[in-house]
Amino acid sequence: MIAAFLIFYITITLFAMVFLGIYGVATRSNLIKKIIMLNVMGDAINMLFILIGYRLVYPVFPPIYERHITFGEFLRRAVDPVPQALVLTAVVIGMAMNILLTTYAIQFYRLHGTVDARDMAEIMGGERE
Amino acid sequence: MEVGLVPVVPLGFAFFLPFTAFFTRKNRKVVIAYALTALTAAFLSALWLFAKAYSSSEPLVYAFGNWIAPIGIVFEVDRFSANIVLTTAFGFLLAGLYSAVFIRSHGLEFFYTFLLGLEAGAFGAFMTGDAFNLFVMLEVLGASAYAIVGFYRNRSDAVEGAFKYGISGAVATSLYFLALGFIYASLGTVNMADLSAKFHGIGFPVTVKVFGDPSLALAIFFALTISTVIVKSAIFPGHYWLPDAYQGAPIPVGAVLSGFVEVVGIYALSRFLYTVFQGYLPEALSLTFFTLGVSTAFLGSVMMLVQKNVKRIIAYSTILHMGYLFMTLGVGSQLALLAINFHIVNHALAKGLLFFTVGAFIYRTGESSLDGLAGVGRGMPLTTALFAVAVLSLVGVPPLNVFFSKMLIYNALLQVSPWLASVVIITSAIAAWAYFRLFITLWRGRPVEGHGHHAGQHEGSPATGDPGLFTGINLLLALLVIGIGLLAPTVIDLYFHPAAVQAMDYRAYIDAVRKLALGVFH
Repeated sequence: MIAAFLIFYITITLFAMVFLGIYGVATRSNLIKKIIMLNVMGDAINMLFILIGYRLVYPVFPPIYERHITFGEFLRRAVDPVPQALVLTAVVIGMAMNILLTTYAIQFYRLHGTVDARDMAEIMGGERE
Repeated sequence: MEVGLVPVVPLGFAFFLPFTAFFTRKNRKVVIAYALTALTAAFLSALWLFAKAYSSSEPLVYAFGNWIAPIGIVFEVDRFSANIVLTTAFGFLLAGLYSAVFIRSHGLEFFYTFLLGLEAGAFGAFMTGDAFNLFVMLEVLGASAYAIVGFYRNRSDAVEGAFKYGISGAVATSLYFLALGFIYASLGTVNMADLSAKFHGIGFPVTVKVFGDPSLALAIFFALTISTVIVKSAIFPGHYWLPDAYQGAPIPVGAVLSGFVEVVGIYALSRFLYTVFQGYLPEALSLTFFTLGVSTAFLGSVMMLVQKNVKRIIAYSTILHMGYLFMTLGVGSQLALLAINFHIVNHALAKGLLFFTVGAFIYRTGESSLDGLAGVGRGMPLTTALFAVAVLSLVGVPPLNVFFSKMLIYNALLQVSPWLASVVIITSAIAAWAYFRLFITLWRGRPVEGHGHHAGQHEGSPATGDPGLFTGINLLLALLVIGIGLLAPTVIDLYFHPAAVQAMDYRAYIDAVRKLALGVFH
């Protein structure tokens, strides 16, 4: 009962974090903060995925079949490995994205000495005139 | 050769290109020869795939590591995918050839690495039969695209465009990942054939039962997927990054981004709506497609009128055409899918021609602003004529190819409402005026004194001479634009109608995988 409530509570928190992340990416003007908020959002989604594979039973088995437990017991108690595999892929992709975006933020800093999106708009607006 | 190897060809070549460049001391000729070999190999494998998909009566299936779905990841290629893959390979080959002359700065090996990565991502996204694999391919495509848009890293517009594109794209693909979470939690699988089987109530080996209410999960899935596609395919509220990204990107990159990278989102949605969850098109969803598509089309065409940079005009033209495709998605009939497929191919060819002719002007003057390009067409009459062909085709003048796909889109929309269909005509007329202005500027305009003192605007120093390669590529594309236009009824009957029929046949789509799965698990 308490476990189910906890899962519900965690789910709500994670969804709030996803929306917070999108809000942060849209409203923060510092490019580095935008990247951080992107990570907040990505990690919240990854946690949600992990939660999908979770089992509300005790004890929970790792998804590796061992001879001394019966197969039915294994199916009932083992964690779903698929979400973990998906999250592993997404984490690696997220790291690559981080590096790429940070590179651009650094490069913009080298060119104009600022990582502020408002300055960026001003500079680019001047060049587009 | 196996079906699954087609995206591996450009990916494998891309992986070894930086090493090859390093060991040959960044020899320009070696890099170009290597990259063109890779692109030709990719084109030949796409041609092979096309022939195989059209000669086979059912979709081709390739299971990675022989792990058949729903356990493993599969590629499932039908004719709809195959003809887009072939166009993609052709477009990338031409863009690679073009870049060999056009890109004169250092770092050509990285440029080609990203171009090959982009091609691999596009191939994968068009060929995959697994919804999660589609996410991975979107990211492969996205990472290469963000990197190649910022290729001129010392120009602030390139860096700004790449950052905007990168952060918007990363948020959008994360939302698609979240959408997969809902689908997986409810339907217990991410394989497209298995999803389709569950949705249509067909049995599938080794899979779990549906959990909870799948219609709610599907609604959330489509809501999140559409928000991804809105950004990835530059539909109205999510289009803001595209003009900046195109302005920063080198011209050959613009051609492939516009023709193939933007349509990946549209392709994914049409795959989900017309094959996997065929029959799932609630009124609200259709209305979303129509509203956003119409807004995008009007926004794209009106914004074309006020731009001062030729790259931005083309960028808004891309937004306009993505609006047409997005609108058509909401119709839900076989005619709509046929129109989408034919328009994707036609738009890619005509837009490639437009980009490559404008690239020849930019190569000559080193400028992309309208003031800098004024009057340049007089010195290059053949290129200007080919530019006119591209423009007339994109506006939709009869014997050229885009006219026929626009007509199909018009017919498809007419099934819903004549008002909706009239949007295609009105926005085409507005776009025609913008193109006409551009043409007059290029052909009759007077060069403006004192332009181009902003360091950021330069495309590179002006080059002398009119490279024969550009003219050759443009002639080839113009020939295709005119040829497909003249032979449109035959081409549709031979290639696009069978593709639409096969893509709408969800039973065959499921059975191609199900048969193999039953063979293994029984």
